[in-house]
Amino acid sequence: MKKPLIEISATQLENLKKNHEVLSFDMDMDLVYEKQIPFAGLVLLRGEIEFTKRYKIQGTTTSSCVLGLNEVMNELPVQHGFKVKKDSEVILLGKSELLNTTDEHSAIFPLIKKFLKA
Amino acid sequence: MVKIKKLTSQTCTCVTHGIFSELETKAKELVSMYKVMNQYKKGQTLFTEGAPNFGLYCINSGKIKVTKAASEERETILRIVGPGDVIGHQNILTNDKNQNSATMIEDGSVCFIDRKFITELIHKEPSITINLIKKLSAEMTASENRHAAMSNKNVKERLAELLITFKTNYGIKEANRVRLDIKLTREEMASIVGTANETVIRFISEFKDEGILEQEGKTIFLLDERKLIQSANVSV
Repeated sequence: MKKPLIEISATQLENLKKNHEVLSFDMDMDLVYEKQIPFAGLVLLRGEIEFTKRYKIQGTTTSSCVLGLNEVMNELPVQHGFKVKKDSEVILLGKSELLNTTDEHSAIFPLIKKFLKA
Repeated sequence: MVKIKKLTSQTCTCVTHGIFSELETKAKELVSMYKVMNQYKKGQTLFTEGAPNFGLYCINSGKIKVTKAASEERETILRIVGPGDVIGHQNILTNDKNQNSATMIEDGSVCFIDRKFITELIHKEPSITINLIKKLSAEMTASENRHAAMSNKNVKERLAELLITFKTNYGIKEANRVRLDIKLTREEMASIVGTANETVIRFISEFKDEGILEQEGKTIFLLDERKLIQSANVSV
């Protein structure tokens, strides 16, 4: 399975933490359902998120990655559902923030740049 | 500057009705651009009690139950919302965690607008603030009325009142009867009225015997609204 994520560096994570609120989500919570457009890009800081397809687990991911960035920016549905497997800490990058980021010094600019290169 | 693929702007109930309806065209276009619209299936959850609040949900189609956990196994239904309504607004400015959960009770489409954008818009557009205050005020009144009904009315009166509310919000006139276009389980109706499932079943059966309503499958049809109003002990 091709994981729907972008891996990011420790420096990028630290920059994001400085500028964004870290949110906690409990185990078993559905963050995004399969075939839906994510409501935000998800930066996983701690915990574990599993990818599901037709309610079956297809894989998991732990920290240092961003999920759903491409989909939220281009209004595309995700091919897998994202469900919290272990209590997780996440930064959510909302659509308005992603679409308005033109400042090269902002914490999310490198992510967007990376996504556009991908 | 980063170039992003141009997004199509969609017009839906949440922009044409509800709290955004009085915005100027340009602001409406912004809402359309920044919202994320999704189709949800019956039983899917929009947000969960205790989880962080990240934005506002506008209902385009379908119905949603807003609930609060009463115990590990039981939930209390606070209200049912439908097209044009918004949910998740209670914590948008306070940044508190969700005080309740929202679950689809039928298939539908819902738009999500993130908190950052909506708070910026609230500061720029007073009509949104006023509409949110109106909405919160209406919800508070409904909550107070429900609280009073719990103390002053018996279960049969409360159930009759619930059916009148359903008739007002979801009633569809059909020949000599009114179809209630909402399908709730007896358990869900009991949760709203504040009683046991068996009691709801018993009173529904009594209403049938009294010629007030009839059922076809899970669908309820009102036959005699005047009698139902008498049973509810209200003046409509």
